[in-house]
Amino acid sequence: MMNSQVHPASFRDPSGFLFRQDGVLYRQVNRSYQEEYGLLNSSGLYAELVEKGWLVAHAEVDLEPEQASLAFKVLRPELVEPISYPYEWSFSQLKDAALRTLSIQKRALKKGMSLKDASAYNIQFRDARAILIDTLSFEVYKPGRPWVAYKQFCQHFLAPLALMAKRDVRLNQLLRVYIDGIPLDLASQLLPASTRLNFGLSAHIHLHASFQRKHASSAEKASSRRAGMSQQGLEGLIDSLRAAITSLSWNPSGTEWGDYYSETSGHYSDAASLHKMEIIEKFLDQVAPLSAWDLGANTGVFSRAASRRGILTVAFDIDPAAVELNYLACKKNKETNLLPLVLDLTNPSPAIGWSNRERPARPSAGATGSVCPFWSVDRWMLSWHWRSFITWLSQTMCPCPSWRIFSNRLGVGW
Amino acid sequence: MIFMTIGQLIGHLSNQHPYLDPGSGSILIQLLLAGLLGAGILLRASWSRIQKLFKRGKPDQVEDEDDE
Repeated sequence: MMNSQVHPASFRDPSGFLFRQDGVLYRQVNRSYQEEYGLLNSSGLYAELVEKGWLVAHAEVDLEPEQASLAFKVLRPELVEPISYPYEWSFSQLKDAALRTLSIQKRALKKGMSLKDASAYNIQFRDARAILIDTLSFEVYKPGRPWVAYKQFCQHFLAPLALMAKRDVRLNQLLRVYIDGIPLDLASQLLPASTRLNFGLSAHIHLHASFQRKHASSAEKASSRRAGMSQQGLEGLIDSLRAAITSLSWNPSGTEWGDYYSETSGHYSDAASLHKMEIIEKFLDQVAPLSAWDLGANTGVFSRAASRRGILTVAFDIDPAAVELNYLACKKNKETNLLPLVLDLTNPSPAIGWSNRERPARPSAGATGSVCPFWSVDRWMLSWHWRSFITWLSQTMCPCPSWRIFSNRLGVGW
Repeated sequence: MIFMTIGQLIGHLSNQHPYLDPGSGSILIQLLLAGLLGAGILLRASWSRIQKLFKRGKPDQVEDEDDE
């Protein structure tokens, strides 16, 4: 008997949806998307984006569709794991995801297509490179039509990046509350007045918010085929968004754990670090997990013991500066199998969205028997309810029997 | 006249029932910015054509280079 289930996050788009059958992830393309799917292939856009590593590849498969009455094709997409969410990304991760979305939109326009949504949730990271995972995000570009996803792009990318760069890096946590991006009127109020002097932020956030307020109910029901936005104008808009995002920067310094491993911090001697690394490496060689979670990874010094062994590793840390440094290092050195993410373990990412099932809570987002968490840090365990933590880790978070805490204070090998 | 066209455009889009709400205000500001920025692109393209006349043999700038 087949075990089949539609993905709970896959209900918004009428073009198709994701489903699992016998544990394998598939994407059904509906007949209503036939024209767009055809153009995606015939224009060469799919091949170009996949070759660049900007779009997830897929194979067309001969499989019973989940909803046969609607179905045009069934695809088996390449898996990009682990799935992460924009409120878990550091500043540069969100910035790279934004720039990748704009680059894809520009390529699409050249091939007669346009992104019909620009959701940050459609972007994931594979080997420190942003990749679009929603193959059905493209529509046929009709000359004269504005970009339907412009508002979404500003809410999902520009507003949080501007708030992180110009106000406080922790403000990306607003994305936890607003699943469709930070409302522009809120972003406009929170940003410093000086951002009104920046053309990109002034136009795409402040003025945009003011237009939204003034014209909230001005949609007229008249139907017309006439439209007024040239492709050149649309490309100008994309370039302007790119310039606004490129100009935003954040310097990860002066935060809690940024210098944890530096020589002056005094937390670790070289000998202690080497000893801890040896123990972790020995442990990883013994267990040989398929994937590992480093909980409290800081800049990922010990996470790399796992990722360098080809183990798919997530390096979680509460400090956005540490995660930023870790991500920038991954990018610079073209590292593979390592994904740095921001996570407060005492208040981990909750389940959000429609019916609380669109985005799962972090402990269950990727926990399988093959994930092996290891706790490489010894900094706050004793000041927190560590007994509760260990119970949670062993029972709720992960069924892996080989999880470990590596701690100088608690002794090795819990 | 311009506002009539914009009104018709918004009406047209709202009749299309896109699954993503583009927002009336967001369409209006796009049209405004596109007018300005599109003119900028035209100017830039003309300027680079003029520059090319004087700098023969120099390859065009690679697109999306800051993306990698």
